[in-house]
Amino acid sequence: MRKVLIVEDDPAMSVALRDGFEYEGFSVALAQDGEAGLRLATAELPDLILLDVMLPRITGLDVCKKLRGDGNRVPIIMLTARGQEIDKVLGLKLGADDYVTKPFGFMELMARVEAVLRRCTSSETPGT
Amino acid sequence: MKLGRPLHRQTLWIGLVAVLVPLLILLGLQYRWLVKLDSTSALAQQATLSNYLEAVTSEVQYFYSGVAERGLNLPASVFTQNRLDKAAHYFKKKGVAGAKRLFVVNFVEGKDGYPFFFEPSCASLALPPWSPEVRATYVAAAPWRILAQKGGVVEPVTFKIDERDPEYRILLYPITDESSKVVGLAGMILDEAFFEEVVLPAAVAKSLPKLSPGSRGHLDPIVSAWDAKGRLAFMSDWSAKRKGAHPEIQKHLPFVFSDWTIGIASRHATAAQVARKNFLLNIGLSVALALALLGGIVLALRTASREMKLSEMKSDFVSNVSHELRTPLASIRVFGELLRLGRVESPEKAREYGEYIETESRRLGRREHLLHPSAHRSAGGRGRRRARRSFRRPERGLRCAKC
Repeated sequence: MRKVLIVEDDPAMSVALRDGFEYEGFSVALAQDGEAGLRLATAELPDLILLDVMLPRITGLDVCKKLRGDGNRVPIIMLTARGQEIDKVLGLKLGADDYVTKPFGFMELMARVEAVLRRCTSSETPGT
Repeated sequence: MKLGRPLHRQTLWIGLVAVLVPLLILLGLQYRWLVKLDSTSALAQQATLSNYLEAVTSEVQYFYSGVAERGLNLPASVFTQNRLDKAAHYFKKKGVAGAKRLFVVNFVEGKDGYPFFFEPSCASLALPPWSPEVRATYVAAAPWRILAQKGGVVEPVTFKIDERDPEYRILLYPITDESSKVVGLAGMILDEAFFEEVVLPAAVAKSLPKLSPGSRGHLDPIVSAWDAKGRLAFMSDWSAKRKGAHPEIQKHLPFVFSDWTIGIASRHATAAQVARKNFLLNIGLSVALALALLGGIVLALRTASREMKLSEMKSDFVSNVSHELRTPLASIRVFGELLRLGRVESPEKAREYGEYIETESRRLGRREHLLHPSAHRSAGGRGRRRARRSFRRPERGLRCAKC
C-alpha cells in the first residue's frame, strides 16, 4: 500500500485529505507542523508528501529545502493559498515536484498525485 | 518571497552613497577653491590699498611740480639783465602756494650766489642778514653755483628738492638762458604746516575716486601720516585713532617730505580679515546648503524605505488574507466533492463532514472583515482596530483568526 504524508496545520483540511486518500487506497500519516513533518518524513518513509506552505514555526518551503538538503528524494506536492508566480517558482526551485493552489478539487489533486508518482516510478526504473 | 527586501535596502544605501560621494567631492573642491580665493583676495586687497597709497603720493608730487612750474619758472632776463624787481613782481602776481619763503639766487657773472629773499609785505627782493635759513638756502644752491661757474649746461630743466635740513625743506628751480646755462635759481622753502593741513588732505581726498567703486565700500581706508619725529601729523579720520587702527601698509613719501611716513588701513577690518570673513561665509553657506540637501535626501530615502516596507507589508497582508480565506474554502470544496462522489460510507461521517463545512463557513464569515476593514467602522472601533492590527502585524492577525 502506498503511503502519503500530509503536513497540514488546518484540522478540517487534514481530515478531508486523510479521508479522501484513505478511500483511494493510500495509507495516511498526518503532521500538524513543519517539525512533525520533518520527523515523520524520515520515520514513516512515505511515497509522497503533501506539504502545506504556511505552517507554524517552520514553513513548508523550509521543510522542503531541509528534506532535499538531507538527500531525501521523496516526491513533494506543495499545497498553498499563495498563488503568485514567485511563490510557485520558489517552491519548485526548492525541490517540490508540483504545486497546487487552494482551493483545489480533490480529483485534480489525485490526478496530480498519480502523475507525480508515475513520473517518479518511471525515473527510478529506467528501461521499463 | 523575502528576496526583494535586502535588494531594496541595498538600493537605498547605494542611492545614499551615490548622492553623498559627489556631494563630499564637491564640498572638498569648493573648500580648495575658497582657500585659494582667500589668499588671492587678501593679496588683491593689499594691492588695492597699496595702489591707493601710490595715488596719494603721486598727488603730492603733482601738487609741488605744479607749484614749481607755475610759480618759480622765471624768465632768464631777470638774472641776465639784473631785474630782480621783475622777479618780485612775478612772485607777488603768482602768489605761490605752500611756500614759507620765496627766494632767488643770481649766478650771473660778478654775483656770489647769495640768496635774495622775497618780502611779501613790500613785494620786493632783498639780501637778508645771515641766519640758519639763509645758510640752508646757500648750501642748497651750492651745486648750482658751481655748475654756473663752470658754465655747465642743464638739460632738461627740472626742479630739485633739498631736505638736508628738515627745518628748511627747499625746492629749487634752475633758470637757464637760451644756451641752457644756469643763470640763476628760483626757490621756495616749503611750509610744513601747509603740507600737513592742505596738501596732504587734498591729495587723500583726490585719490579716493581712484579706488575701484566695488572695493571702496568695504575697504573704506584710513590714511595716516607721521612726521620725521614720529608724531602723528595727519589722519583722514581722527575718530579712528581711538579704535587703534593699525596701518596695513606703510611707506616713506618718495618725493618731498621724504622722512615722513604715510600709512593706510581698512576702516572695518584688515584685508586678511575681510578675506577670512568672506571665506568663512562662503564655506558656511556651502556646508549649510550641503546639509540641507543631505537632509532632504535622507528624508526622501526614509520615505521611500517606509513606502517599500508598507508595500511589503501590504503584499504580506494580501497573501495572509488570501491564505485565511482560501484554506476554509478548500476544505469545504473537498468535503463537498467527497460527498458528491459518494465516498461517505456512514451517516456519522456525513454528519462530521457537515459539521466541518458549517464550521469552515462560519470561519469564512468571521474573516470577511479582512477584505473590507472600513465596513466595520460604523459598527464600532473594535473591528477597525482589529483590522488595523491585522494590517500592521499580519502574523498576529493570522494567529488570532486561526484561534
